[in-house]
Amino acid sequence: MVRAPGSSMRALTWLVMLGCGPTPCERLAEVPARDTCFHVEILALPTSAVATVAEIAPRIQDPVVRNATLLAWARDHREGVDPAGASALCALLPVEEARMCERRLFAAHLAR
Amino acid sequence: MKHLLFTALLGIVGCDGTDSAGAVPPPALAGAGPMAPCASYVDLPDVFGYCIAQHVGALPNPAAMVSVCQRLGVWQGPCRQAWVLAQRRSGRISDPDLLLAACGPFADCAFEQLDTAPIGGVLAQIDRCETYARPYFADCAGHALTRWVHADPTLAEAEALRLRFTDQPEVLGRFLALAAACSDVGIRCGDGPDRVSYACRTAEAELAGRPQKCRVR
Repeated sequence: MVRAPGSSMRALTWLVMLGCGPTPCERLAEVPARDTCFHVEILALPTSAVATVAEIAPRIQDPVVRNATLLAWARDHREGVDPAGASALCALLPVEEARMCERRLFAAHLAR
Repeated sequence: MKHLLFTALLGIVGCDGTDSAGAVPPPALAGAGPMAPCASYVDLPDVFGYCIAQHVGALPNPAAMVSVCQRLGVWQGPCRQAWVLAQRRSGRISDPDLLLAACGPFADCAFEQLDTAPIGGVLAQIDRCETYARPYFADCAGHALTRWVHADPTLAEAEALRLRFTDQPEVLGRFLALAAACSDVGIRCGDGPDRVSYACRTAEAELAGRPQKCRVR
């Protein structure tokens, strides 16, 4: 298999960032800046990364930022989300927000 | 620019808060009012929208709510829904038609309002499901039919439903079978070849072996 130059290095960098050390967001000292960083990071994640969203979101300390981020991600990824991952994601929210999250992720067929 | 928007929102709230008896005085809303904590999120539109929706319930009337919510883009629907929920829970505004109107064109809000505070009989409710909660019509109408079956279904309503609920004959047939089994007002499936009667007879046969059928929800 032929690899593009530098692809191994990029993969290693991602492994270090995701699994073996603090992510760029976690390196930020101030809570608002760190929360904003996670917010931006999560909103950039694709539909297939629902488990990653559920993993990162609890690191957002401000509940307003955390809840808004989860609901915004759910709004933007109505189609094709893994049901188990979607349940885990919505379970991170308070009751009312969880219902809204579930409507967004599980009732997409109704909203079309 | 975004800070200007927030300032403008507070200003609008302050003006609109004056037209309701006993409303929070405008200075309280504009100064240290319920929206004040959201100022720090003005650079994150989703967080700002969510934050406003968390606090919008304190606004005293639909006009004040609309003037704020309509500026939130994709968060307008959740904002209206949060306001309607807050009024319903607090009892400040309990008129279901007024609360439904406050949802505007947002079906999520209307569906939740209709489900929580049904208006009129089953036919009126189904009409409202179609008008205000069209994307959720099947669920909204299904819930109305469920309530109807377990309340006091009348023969006249059953006949009217046959004429009104024509686009989902299988759904209506099942509920007619339940109504026939759970009431004694003479509701029958009918022996005609139409889809409603056929679905009703099929459901009736399935229900025959279920002793708890009238508790099914």
